Amino acid sequence: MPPEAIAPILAVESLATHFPMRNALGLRTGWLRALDGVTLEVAPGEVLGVVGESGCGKSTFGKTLCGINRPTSGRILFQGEEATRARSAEARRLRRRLQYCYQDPSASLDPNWTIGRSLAEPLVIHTGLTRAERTARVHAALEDVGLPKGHLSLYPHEISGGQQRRVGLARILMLQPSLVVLDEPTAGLDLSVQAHVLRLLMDLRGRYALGYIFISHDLAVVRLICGRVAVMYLGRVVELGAAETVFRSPAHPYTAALLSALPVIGGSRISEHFRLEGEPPSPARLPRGCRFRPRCSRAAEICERQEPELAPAGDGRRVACHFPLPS
Amino acid sequence: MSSIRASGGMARQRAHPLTDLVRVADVSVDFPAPGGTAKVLDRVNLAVGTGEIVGLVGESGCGKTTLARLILGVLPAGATVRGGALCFEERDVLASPREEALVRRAFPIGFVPQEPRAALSPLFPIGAQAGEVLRWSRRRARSGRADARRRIAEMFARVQLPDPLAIMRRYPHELSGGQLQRVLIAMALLREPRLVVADEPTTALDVTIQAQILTLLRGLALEQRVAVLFATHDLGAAWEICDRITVMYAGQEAETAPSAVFFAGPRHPYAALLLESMPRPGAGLPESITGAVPNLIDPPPGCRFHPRCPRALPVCRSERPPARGSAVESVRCHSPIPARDAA
Amino acid sequence: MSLLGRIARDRVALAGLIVIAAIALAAIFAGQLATFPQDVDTYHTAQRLLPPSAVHWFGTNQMGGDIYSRLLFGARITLVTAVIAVAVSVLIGVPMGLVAGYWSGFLGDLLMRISDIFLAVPQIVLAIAIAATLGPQIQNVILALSLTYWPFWARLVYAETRNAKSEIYIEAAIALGASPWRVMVLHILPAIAPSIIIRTSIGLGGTILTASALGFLGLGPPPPSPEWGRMIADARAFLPGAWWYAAAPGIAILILVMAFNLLGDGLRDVLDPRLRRHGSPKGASFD
Repeated sequence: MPPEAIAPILAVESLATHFPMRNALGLRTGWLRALDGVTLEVAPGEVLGVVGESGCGKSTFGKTLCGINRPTSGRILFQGEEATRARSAEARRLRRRLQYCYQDPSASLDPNWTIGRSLAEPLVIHTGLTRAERTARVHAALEDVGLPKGHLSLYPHEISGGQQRRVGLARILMLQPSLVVLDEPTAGLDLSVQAHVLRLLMDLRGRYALGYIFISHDLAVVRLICGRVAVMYLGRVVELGAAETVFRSPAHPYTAALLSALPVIGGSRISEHFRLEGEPPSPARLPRGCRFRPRCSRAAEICERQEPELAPAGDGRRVACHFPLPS
Repeated sequence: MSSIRASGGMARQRAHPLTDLVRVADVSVDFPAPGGTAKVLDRVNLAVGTGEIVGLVGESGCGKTTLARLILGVLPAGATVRGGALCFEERDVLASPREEALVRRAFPIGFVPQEPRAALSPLFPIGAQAGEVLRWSRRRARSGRADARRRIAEMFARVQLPDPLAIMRRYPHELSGGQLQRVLIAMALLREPRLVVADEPTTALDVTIQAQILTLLRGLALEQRVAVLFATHDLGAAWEICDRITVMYAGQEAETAPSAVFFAGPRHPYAALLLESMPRPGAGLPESITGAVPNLIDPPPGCRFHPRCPRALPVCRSERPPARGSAVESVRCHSPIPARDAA
Repeated sequence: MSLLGRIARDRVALAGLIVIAAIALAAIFAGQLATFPQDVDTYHTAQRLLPPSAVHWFGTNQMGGDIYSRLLFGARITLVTAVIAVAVSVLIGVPMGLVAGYWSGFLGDLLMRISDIFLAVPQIVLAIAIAATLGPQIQNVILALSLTYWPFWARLVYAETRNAKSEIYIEAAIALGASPWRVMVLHILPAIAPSIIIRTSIGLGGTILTASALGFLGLGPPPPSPEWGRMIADARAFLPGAWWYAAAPGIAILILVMAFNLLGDGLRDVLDPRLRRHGSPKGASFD
């Protein structure tokens, strides 16, 4: 059953977040269009991957969803409710179920607070639970991530990095969210640690019926974990579809280039089939028409005149391209 | 043939004509650390042949960066080098400080770091910083300013930087990560080294830029017959660029083999588990290796991997395994995975 | 390890702390420690300007009063003045800096411009003006000092708060839905406390100097109060003959101010790196 048939837990319409660029005098010289019109839906409990390279806007997307960045235009609908410009009390209510996990979850822990206090903080802010009830929930969360109760009185710097990460994850679970935005959860991790983290994430997902928005630049991991994937380039989604389909036969030339850049152990060397010159332009100065046109080998005249929109392209996929690759 | 000081492990290996450029023989390095001394490298052996691209692969704490710094001669203050030999073209720099000074002057080594922005001063234009490298290179007598500029521009063109003269006038913050890394590769090659040490040069880069840089680096190394020591934790990048792989774990080297042989079937249990923990399509969630990297202040005796090894034997707990094999292909394990029959 | 334990490890801080404690205790127990406690306000002109001896350890002043005893009681005035003035400055400056730093923007700019105005006038001049207008009394000295000193804390806290706001855990707390009050008081304040403490210690030293200067200029408590600055002023007329008269309070001020500076410097080492250090190896820090 295609995900669109069930009521989505999150729906985004033409979401955009622009940052003002200021010169030395503080006057605005232009706009950095980090996120420039994203439309997609997330089904309850699904793992949606968001991939792209630096400057594509995937991190801004995650932060805008969770209220860390304020959107410039567009709509966010979470569990059917308008969440775009939620003011304080309303925002607080919404943020219970939609949580943001930093690349290093332990960075969200205040180094001057004990772990127990940090874990209880979400409950203090959002719920009216008594201290005893909070302690019980905190104990349960620690157990879920496999940490001993003794850790409650320790400070973050007194435990190892891996344990800090687990505490960070536990903190996110305190409010029993339905959807968690994971921002680069495996970046920079050793392979064995990465394997640990992925297992933990999947385990927690099963246990708590969580959905994930998995933002990552690591395509191999995304292919493994995610049901659907959105490929972003310069602030927009250029391809959206089932992960396996997108990876096996990409429709957008950028997706194809991205995949061909991946080393394949046991396969041929990249140099033999990788074709992508240059670097992505800065989001501050976007090309006219299709954003990928300057680097695209299939570009034609229409690509400069008209920016392609996300349109269905068979197999339940959507592509933003005038000349998508044949499947 | 082999003129290095004989030491337990290496004596059993014959010197191979392909490994005569750099040889690390039974070298140990200690660091002072809160709580004791960290034995960061434990009787490590490594060899790099002329024009060879060797991958130094391992996870955090394996010692690959320390080994790279040892070869470069930039170990941090407080590090102690114990025993063994570090030979550049058969001359041991550990013999005496004077010998080290002489050998290093005659044997320049290029360095490509992980974070290009940290390696360049934000205050000076790129051209000036590249010029500094030239001033210290061997051929300094010859260059006037114009000649130096020409050579820098040539090298920038060779690393496929568009409009080299304009780039030379820019400052580091005006260039992207990929461009800066090309600049650093160019600067490393300006010294006309026989060896370039690259420490995770593509880890901080996007995957498409990484592909470009890896292709470039391999192409240049082969073209100029420069050996490369490529330290990384990314097995995919190692596959792309390396002729030979050396895997390290917790300060000990585990296995050395030609790239194709290694990836077809690693023989050291750690290397095999490492390969298995790579995400692979259709293979389900990767297995993680049980346990954790040991504390280097009090590492396990014998083979440091034995607490986590599924094939551990009692002897692994007491005796460090000797290297079995040659300088180009060896595994340090008491119970290595049997080799696949040659196809 | 407790704060005191850590201070004990750092010799510089420890030295400062010991001296301060010694002087504070001397001030508290001045009544018991003074050899001539009544000399605070009685005259014995027969013993005027005697050099230091076994009876009068620091000699006597022009009224015959024992300088050592007067010094001890003067310590009370100095310490009380400094502590109250700094306390008031901190109570004004820190909240202002927090609020300005958290809501940088119009409100932040406004508050910082106000503090700039106070900073633009030299502290001594402003203090003189206030004390001179309101009369030479200890309360006015304290008032003058507080009014001129609070901007230092405001600016420090402003800068530190803005820095702290860019920390990920602060951003995370805000994203979690924490109210500004909670973020400022429970998260940012503990994080910037070390800087405030260090500044306060050094600020106490500076306040003592300024208070003594005001006393020297006659704006402090009137005679026969044994305020140190006034003692130096009185001693001027009798230099260089009765050198001990000026030397004693001068050296006392020197020692006390230096002790606070040493404590502040030592605290800088004790507090900052440890609080920011993430101790245990995450796998290993050697690669």
